Amino acid sequence: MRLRDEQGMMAIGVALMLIVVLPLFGGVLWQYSTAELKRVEKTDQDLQALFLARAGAEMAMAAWKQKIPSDEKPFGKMEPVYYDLDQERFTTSKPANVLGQIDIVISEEDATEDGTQHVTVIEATATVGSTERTVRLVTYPHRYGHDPSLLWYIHNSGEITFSEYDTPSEVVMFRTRTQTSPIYLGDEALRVMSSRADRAITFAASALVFDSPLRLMPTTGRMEGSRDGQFDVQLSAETIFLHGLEIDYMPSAEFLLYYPWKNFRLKLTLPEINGEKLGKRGRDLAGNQQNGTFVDDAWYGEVYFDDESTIYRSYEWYKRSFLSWPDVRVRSDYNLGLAGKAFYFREGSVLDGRAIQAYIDQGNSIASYFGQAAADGWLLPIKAEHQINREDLEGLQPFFWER
Amino acid sequence: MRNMLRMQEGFTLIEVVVAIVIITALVAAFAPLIVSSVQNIQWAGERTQALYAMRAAMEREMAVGAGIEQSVTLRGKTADGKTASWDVEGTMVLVQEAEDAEQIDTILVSYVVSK
Repeated sequence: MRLRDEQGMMAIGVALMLIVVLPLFGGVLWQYSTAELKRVEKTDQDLQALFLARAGAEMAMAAWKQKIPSDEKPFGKMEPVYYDLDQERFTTSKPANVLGQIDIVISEEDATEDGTQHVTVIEATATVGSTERTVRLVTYPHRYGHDPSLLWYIHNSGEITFSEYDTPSEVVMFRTRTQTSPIYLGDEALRVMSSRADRAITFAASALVFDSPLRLMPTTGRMEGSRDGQFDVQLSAETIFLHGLEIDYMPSAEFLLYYPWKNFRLKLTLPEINGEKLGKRGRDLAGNQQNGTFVDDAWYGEVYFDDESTIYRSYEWYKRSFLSWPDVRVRSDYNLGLAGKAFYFREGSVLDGRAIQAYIDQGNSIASYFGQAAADGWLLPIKAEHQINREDLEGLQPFFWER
Repeated sequence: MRNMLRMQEGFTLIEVVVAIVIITALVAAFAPLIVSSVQNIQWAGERTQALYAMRAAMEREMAVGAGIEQSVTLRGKTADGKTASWDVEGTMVLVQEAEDAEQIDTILVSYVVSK
């Protein structure tokens, strides 16, 4: 065979090779493009299903949150909901031209290992074409401050302990075992507070609801045994419901030796969630107050006092006899007159027994003290039509998404 | 040198013609497939981007509750097993995109409860 023939054969060989390579290349490309088209179609349906599922979850949540007795709330599997493309609306009867179907199931799951608390779970599954998508909504149960997850106070005694007090996205309730026994500052809390620069303890939540009274220093024994100086219990929430309040102050005294003053104050602040402060600016609330003036740029929350008593308790050092050691006794209880009232509080408002005492000592009344607080834009009474009540707050039951 | 050039003889005309015919036939057979595949891949990429843009638009609309107010009735059972229905007030949020006549419209629909 001559070289010229071999070269010719090679050329044909190259051409024949193309017979293999080109179909292979074309086939792979075609397969890839087909897969891409399917993926896009799947993404399309997936998106449609996701938003339909979210629609179903929102509907179920709204139905569940309606103010109706708990045994009338939806539970279990709901009838399917469809989106009618022709009528452009959601319907429970299957239309001819349907975008997708939503199946909703409402159930209850244990929130704690011992099963004492439950959460309501809404699962909405949307089907579009061959694609299914499920979203899940879970209620936050009302957590109590004494829950093991928080340990803000001891359930039996009401003594405030010390841990991390920060759940700004939740509603937290305070209720002692007997409900009537108060929440108060314990020795351990005071020890930790006295080591802090601000000498404060902070409870942060979106809303704080007290079902038991907050009495910072409820007995003479506790007042006498407590550390000296000033301590703040700081409630940091957009909405605060108090069920009775007592703030306490005892001036210093000299009986050969110096006996220190003690002041236990309540401070009201606003928490932040992800760097965003809860509450409203004064300028956005103008007109909602019965009297007083908002500071335009200041932040305000709401504090509600129910019909339980609100007092400033004045303690004093005294001696039973010339030879005895000084003792502590209640000098006087002053009615703060806040029971049954609701206020916008400016961030940083303080109910301060020492300041009130100084005001009273100048011959003023407590009523005028709070009148001045309103005029200065600290505590402004809320008009009745702008007030909320506990039941409204409990009905909020915020949900969070799981997808 | 002249001897070497004479030794390297080229293809005959027939050989070249046969090769060109084969290649042309192959390209003619597979070109539409390859072109349409490339077009499809390109379209899929654009479509994916468009879908993500729609999703972003939908999230925005839902965040502000922009849409058509619509009441919806849910039917089902209560905790004690009774059949009941619940009327819900909210806003239907809709984002749709009409492609050219050959493409299917994409419609994203959701529902936001009145706050």
